[in-house]
Amino acid sequence: MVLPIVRRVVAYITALGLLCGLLFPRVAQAQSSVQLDLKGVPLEEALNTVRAQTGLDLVYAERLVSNRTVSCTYTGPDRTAALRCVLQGTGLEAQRVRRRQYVLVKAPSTKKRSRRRVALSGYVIDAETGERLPGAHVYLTALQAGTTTNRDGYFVLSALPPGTYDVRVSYLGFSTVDTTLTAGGSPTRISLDPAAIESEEVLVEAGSTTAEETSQVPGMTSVDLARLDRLPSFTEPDLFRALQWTPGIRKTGAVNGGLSVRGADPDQNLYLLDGAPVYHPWHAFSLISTFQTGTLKNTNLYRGAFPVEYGGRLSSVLDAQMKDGNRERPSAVAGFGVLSGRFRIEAPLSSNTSFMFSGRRSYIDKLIGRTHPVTDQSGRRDTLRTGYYFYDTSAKVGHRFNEKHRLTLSYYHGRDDLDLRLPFDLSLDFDSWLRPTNLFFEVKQNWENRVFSAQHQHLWSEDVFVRSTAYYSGYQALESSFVQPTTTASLASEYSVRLHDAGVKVDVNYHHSVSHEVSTGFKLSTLQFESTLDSEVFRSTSLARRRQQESDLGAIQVSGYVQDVWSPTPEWTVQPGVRVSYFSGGDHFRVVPRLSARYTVDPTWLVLRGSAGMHVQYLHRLRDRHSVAYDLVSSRWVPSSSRVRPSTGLQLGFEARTHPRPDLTVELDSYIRKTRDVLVPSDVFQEKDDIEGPGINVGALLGQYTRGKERAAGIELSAVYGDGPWTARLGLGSGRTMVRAPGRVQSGLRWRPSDLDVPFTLRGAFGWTGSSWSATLATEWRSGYPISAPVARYQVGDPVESDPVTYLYRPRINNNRLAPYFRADLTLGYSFEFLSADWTTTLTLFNVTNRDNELSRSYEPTPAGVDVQSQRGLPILPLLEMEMRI
Amino acid sequence: MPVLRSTPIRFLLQALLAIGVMFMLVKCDWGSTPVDEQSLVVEAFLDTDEPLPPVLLRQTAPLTGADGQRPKTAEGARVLFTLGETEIPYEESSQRPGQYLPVRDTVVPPQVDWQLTADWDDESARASGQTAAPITIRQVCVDVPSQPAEAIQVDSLRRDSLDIPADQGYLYPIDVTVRWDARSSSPERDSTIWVRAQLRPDASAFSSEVVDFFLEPAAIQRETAYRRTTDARRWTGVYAVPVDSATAPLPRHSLTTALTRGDTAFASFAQTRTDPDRREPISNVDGGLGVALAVSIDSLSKTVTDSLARNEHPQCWISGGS
Repeated sequence: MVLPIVRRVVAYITALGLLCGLLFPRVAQAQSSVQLDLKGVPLEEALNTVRAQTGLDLVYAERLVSNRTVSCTYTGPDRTAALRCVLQGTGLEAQRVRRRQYVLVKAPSTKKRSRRRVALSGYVIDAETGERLPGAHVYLTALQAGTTTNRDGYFVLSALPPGTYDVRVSYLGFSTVDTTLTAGGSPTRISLDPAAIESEEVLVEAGSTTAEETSQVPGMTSVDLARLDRLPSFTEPDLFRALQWTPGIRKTGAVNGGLSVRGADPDQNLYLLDGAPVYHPWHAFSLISTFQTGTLKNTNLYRGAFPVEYGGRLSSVLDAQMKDGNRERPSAVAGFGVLSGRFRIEAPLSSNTSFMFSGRRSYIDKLIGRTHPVTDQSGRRDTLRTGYYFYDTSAKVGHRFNEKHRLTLSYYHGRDDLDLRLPFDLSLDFDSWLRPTNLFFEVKQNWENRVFSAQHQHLWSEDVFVRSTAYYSGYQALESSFVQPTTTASLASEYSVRLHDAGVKVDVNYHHSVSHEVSTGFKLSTLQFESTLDSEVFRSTSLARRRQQESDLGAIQVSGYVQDVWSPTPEWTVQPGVRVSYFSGGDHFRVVPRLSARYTVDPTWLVLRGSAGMHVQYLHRLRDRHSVAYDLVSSRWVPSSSRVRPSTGLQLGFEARTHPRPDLTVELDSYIRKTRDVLVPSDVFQEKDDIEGPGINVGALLGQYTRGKERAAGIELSAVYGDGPWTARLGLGSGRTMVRAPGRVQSGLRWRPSDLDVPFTLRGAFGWTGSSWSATLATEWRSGYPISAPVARYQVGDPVESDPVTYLYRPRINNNRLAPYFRADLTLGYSFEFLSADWTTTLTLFNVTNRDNELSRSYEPTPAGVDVQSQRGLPILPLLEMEMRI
Repeated sequence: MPVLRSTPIRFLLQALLAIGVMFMLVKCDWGSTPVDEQSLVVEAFLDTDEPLPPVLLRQTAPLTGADGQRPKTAEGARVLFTLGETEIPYEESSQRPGQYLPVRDTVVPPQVDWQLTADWDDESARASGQTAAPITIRQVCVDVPSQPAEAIQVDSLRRDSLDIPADQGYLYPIDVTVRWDARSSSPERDSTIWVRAQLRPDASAFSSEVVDFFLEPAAIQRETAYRRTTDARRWTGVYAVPVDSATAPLPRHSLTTALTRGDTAFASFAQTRTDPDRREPISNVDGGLGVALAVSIDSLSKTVTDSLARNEHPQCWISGGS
């Protein structure tokens, strides 16, 4: 079994080697000998000769070299000697910035001062709100060197020769700024104006790039929150739904369900909000996410490969930052959708302090009522309940003590609450509901996330930046139910899950030079997992069983990392790093190396990225697969222990990005992933079909799962086109995800498609935005999810039964697929002014073609064969959304 | 700087080619490995202290077939049973194709090793195990409520639709307690012994999946998991008999209480024979489908009448008594 794995990895590396083959002639060219024989030649011409023969990149101001002539004779292999020869007697000297790159400056009077290096630093700011912009790209056009602003909007390019530099500053959704900055001065503030969406073009040229373009890691996506609202969403602008337009990302269900990244399980994604993990980022039974786009200022998504700064998950990282609040003037936004209403207020409190406060609440319970008093003819009274709501509150306060110290406090609390007391008869004849009944069911379910984060950002020196974070993330869920199907039988159950994660972490960035940016960090967190179950089942008046169980697990996790972003030449950037982690549950210690690199063949035509990295996940999200009394909506995490090994994964990734036209970006990604020690259901057919399950003890839960391996590979092609008011997106993905795990597999231990294996996906979105109107048509076509279809039927009896039973024979799991899924959504938007406010109305037609998509399929044997039943998806749905801005 | 600017198309083509090569190479060994699908289905149940059972051999049938094709029998097979050191050949019944009978009468003794081999049409199925110790019902007690209970008739506990009509009916939930002789053997061996207790009334069932969740007409557990009182173990289950109204008497019906003792293979089969989607139960046959199990069975059938509903105390019957 080892051989195929080795073969696959070798195949992958060989294919990538083919790509890299184009690069080698360039290296060979650089090794040739230099011959100079210059007499009275203008300096600029001489420098061009040196540049052509040595391959050196020489950067200088024209005024320095104009009106100077040189004479020089040199033959030999030493490129720097040739350069020195040319500069001899000119009063100039070449200062090395990095390999094969020099800046020409005036030669200083003393040798000591000649080695002085200075930094070019500053902040990038949103001109409209005064907020600092993390992830903005600052690019020295002549040096072809750049950096991105950190979470505080700060950038620094260290160890530069003194002088002035042409700088291009760009940020997704903002107009690019070209300016000239002086290295060695005090930090500069650069303001960027938000780009008007209808006029914004995807303009790509050298240096005009985003954090996404400059990332060393393939598969990184910087989410354009400004454009997000124009993509169709089921209810309201939703971050996770918009992410599904990124190749390789989809929801596990047609409407609800977790996010699957490249076929991996949803529990392998890490969601961070201002540095704190969010464990269950879903509302409304996973219909929409807890991440409101309006409260976020920056969101980065790493698919598959992520820097060593991140850890704890195998598949992806979503790192979102909340807005600090408008530092220039107060502003308010209110919106109303089908499900919920929302508001956001931002304002400066002082010249150094600002805040953002946001809220959202669903109002379906207000429309249909939470309680319904009912009376029957005999005068008997009862109160039925139909309550469901969710809400979010987000708040952030930012205070700047001075240019070197800044503190932000973030708070998020979101909760869902379901409260039902209904009769069993839920026919469309509503009269049957509204009467007292002896036979009814009550369901109370709620789940909530509470996140608190404090971040202190300290500019230790102009090239050392320290960020300290303390956070608490809590998740808890309660499921309470009472079911009375007969007057003598009932189920009363109360189940709770609580997770507490508190930690501190320190991240240090040291900008050594244009070539090196070293990062290191440390994190300590404590995790507590609690769950309780108290249930009592009356099967008859005298036959009752009560179960009271508690589970309480704790663990401490310590991790640290170090990495270097090394840019030896303008074309190459290499990012080696290593992450070390220790998990007290089971005393697991892991060292995982990661390496990624970017090679710029041409800034416009082709940028290549590659990565290889290992990832560790110490937590597993599991669900009881037997009982209908508990584990219905909760997320229950089981930490690694001596019995549960952490999952580890190796992932190789490669990305090629090109801009064949100024308004077109094309990206090709490929990946191969191998994961072991993932927990897979030991019986994939088992579904909740019993009142009493095995209980909530971890052993009982783990008994339903088995350790397995997973492997995946795929290619993703995406294209984004923007021309004035027109935009178009195309995403094409092809990949396989296979698992192998022991268990109840008739055909033995073999690789099989995972439940989330989707070989082909095609998504497209076409949009137009005018001054008042906008329209977007978005479509998705993908292969159906795998299913286990029977291939034959047979009969077997029982020792005490007289007649045999017909069974369906399924020798292989996931041997078939549902019908391909297709959906088209249309969004129409209209913006207008009314009562001194800006209004936007959006109408989304979900499943505009009213396609009858197949979501699941079941088989039932009949005397003549088999009866096949399919569950179908939602029909066409109109959804209205309105937003007001002041 | 842009050395390769003149050849971007070539580079892109090469990139696409390389990715394609990679994907093909990666995918080449990902094709589904052929699975040896079985077509021979074995059914044999050895009952301790009873004669050797017939062996039924069937074939799997396609899912759909002309005229509702039923699973066919497997004829012309060679069947051999080994009980302890004794080999007992089987021969096909002349009256019932696919049924194989022992050539000589042999009673199945308790706790001896056995092995079954069936060769048919290039397929060879084998199963083995140890015969079970006999099980004996000591007492069955029935407790009938004095009046029926209201019950809802609805097919599922799922409440994910606004159109799930339900009807209301009535039923008698009847508790039954069965006691049987406890075994005295080593704990190690007890952990592999399972007992299935079943209540099998001949009355019509109450057609409600929700109510079925709460009834307990059968249980399969390790024998040591059943409650023990002195030298007996006991289990209490509940079944339901539907009636037409809140005042209707309990319909007269027959109740068979059955106990089946077997090994882990029996438990695996018994626990999975009602799996969702009619998935095949766990088989202990190597090289085929179906089961060949050694069990011991005891059952007690009694008539339950409305007079029991008027009893304050449960009505008990002793095995072999009245």
